Amino acid sequence: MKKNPKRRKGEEVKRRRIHATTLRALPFLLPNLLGFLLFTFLPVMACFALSLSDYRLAPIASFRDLVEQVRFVGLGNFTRLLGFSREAGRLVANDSEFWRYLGNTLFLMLGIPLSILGSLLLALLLNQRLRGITLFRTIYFLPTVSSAVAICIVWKWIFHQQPNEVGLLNSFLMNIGIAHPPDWLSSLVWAKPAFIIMVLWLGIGGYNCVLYLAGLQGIPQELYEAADLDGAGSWARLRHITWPLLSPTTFFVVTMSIIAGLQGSFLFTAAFLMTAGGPAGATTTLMLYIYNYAIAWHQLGYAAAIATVLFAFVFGFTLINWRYGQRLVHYQ
Amino acid sequence: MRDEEARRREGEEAKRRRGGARFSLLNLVAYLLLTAIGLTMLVPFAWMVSTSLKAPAYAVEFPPRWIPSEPETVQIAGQECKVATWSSQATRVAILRYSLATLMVPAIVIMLPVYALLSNLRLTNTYAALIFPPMFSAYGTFLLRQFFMTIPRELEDAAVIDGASPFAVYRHIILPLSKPALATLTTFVFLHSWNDFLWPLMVVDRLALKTLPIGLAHFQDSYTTEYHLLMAASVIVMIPVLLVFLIGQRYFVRGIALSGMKG
Repeated sequence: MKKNPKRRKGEEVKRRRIHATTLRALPFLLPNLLGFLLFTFLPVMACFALSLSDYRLAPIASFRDLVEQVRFVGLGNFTRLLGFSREAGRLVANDSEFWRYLGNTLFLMLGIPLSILGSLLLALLLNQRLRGITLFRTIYFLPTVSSAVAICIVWKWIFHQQPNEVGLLNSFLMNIGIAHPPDWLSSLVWAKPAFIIMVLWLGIGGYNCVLYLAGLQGIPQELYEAADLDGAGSWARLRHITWPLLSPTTFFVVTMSIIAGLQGSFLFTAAFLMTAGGPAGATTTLMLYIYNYAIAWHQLGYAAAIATVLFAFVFGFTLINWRYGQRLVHYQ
Repeated sequence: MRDEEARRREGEEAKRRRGGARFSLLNLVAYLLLTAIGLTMLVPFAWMVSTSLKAPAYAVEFPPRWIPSEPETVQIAGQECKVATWSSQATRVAILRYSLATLMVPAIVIMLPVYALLSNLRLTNTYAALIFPPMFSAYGTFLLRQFFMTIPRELEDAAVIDGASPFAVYRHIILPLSKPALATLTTFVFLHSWNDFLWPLMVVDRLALKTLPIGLAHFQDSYTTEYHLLMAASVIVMIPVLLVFLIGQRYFVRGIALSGMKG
């Protein structure tokens, strides 16, 4: 493509104008940039630096303390975390707990597709022109705004199962004829599904549903009218109009849910309060593992290494997603 | 506009004529589904309230009873969650969040070094540690940017032609127009600060400084089996948030739509 000189001159002027705009915008951006620098950029760099050390949260009062306490161990933390070594002819992970808790985190993320599908169906229901929709929407959103701690406590009580005490859920299950309902939170098999049930309850009517509802309301009504004229049934309309036009929303919702799922802040609260990560580590997620290393065991260097790996997962996923996921998105 | 409305109404009329009974039946099914899901959502809350009103001996009754047989007056269960938490949370809300993109950085990556720094400066167990570090988040910036994009450029241009300085444009045009967005952000930040768990858990272990969620968690440790007290405490912790949500609901929904759709 050749550019004619006139056009190039125009671009030059434009660039200069953008430059002037940037200068004028700078004072407005400064407070924000400073905050970003101090409270995001520097901490992230510091976390990378810590991950290369064996710092154990001993107090540092002088430069000598700093040299003594924060010893550089290179990639030592990462080989301990991610590496494998040969033991008796078999490959064994150096930190098998890490892989197990990564597995737990991914297992618990299985709730995400169910939750998104549920949100979509709920949004489709809410989008019908019915009276009193606002009331329903408010009710569905309540779990999202409630205190996670309060929610975890009440669900612990709902899942409760002791020899002489039966929680709400199990007394319901026994009523409908299941004689031996699971032990939920104290069962190796059922603890994770219990968490998934809770997350579904929490998330179906939450942010994703509101986003889908907004997306649905943005679809031009004419398209449906045209489809009606062509004699399309409701499934065809859903499949060929609603679903493709909602794909930007779906893309956003999936991306955000997976990022949130990897970080798992609600599941951290749940594991911390309801099961203490148990039974036998069955509900320990990466976040709880990081927290334990940093706060309970004071091994900040190693905790920072796990956090860095988590960051790498989130970052890698986001990159791949932007690169390839967007191909599936239709824009109007 | 009106034409469109009329046409739509006509279309609906036609549809109703085509299959009147089926149409209302569909509505009925939709309502039934909505109600069933709504009840599922409400059951845990109702159970919380119901248990909180029970006398200790009846809390673990089997089969469970929804209406307490001997209602106990609501006990002041939240006594350990000191009023002090109020002020710390309120201050955090007052200063709006501020920061650039980096929505992708897991919060813990930022928390670890800041925590190390604070504990070295002996600043853990202070209000400053509770209030300042979480103030900066990319979310607020993102939300406001999305809102600013919807303000017509012509308004700014007109002011500039009238000789307004960049700050005057901000002060007299952008800021007054941003009230709904700021209300949205305030609601978000309030709810988030009120419910935040991980950060206060890391930096505070003195009872006097604990925020309500941490106090509630502490309370759970001490009264593991006394569910009627735990539920009462949970109800108390949730009431203010629910009120704020119900009042600011309009802003809330708009905020989600705004920050979600036009990224």
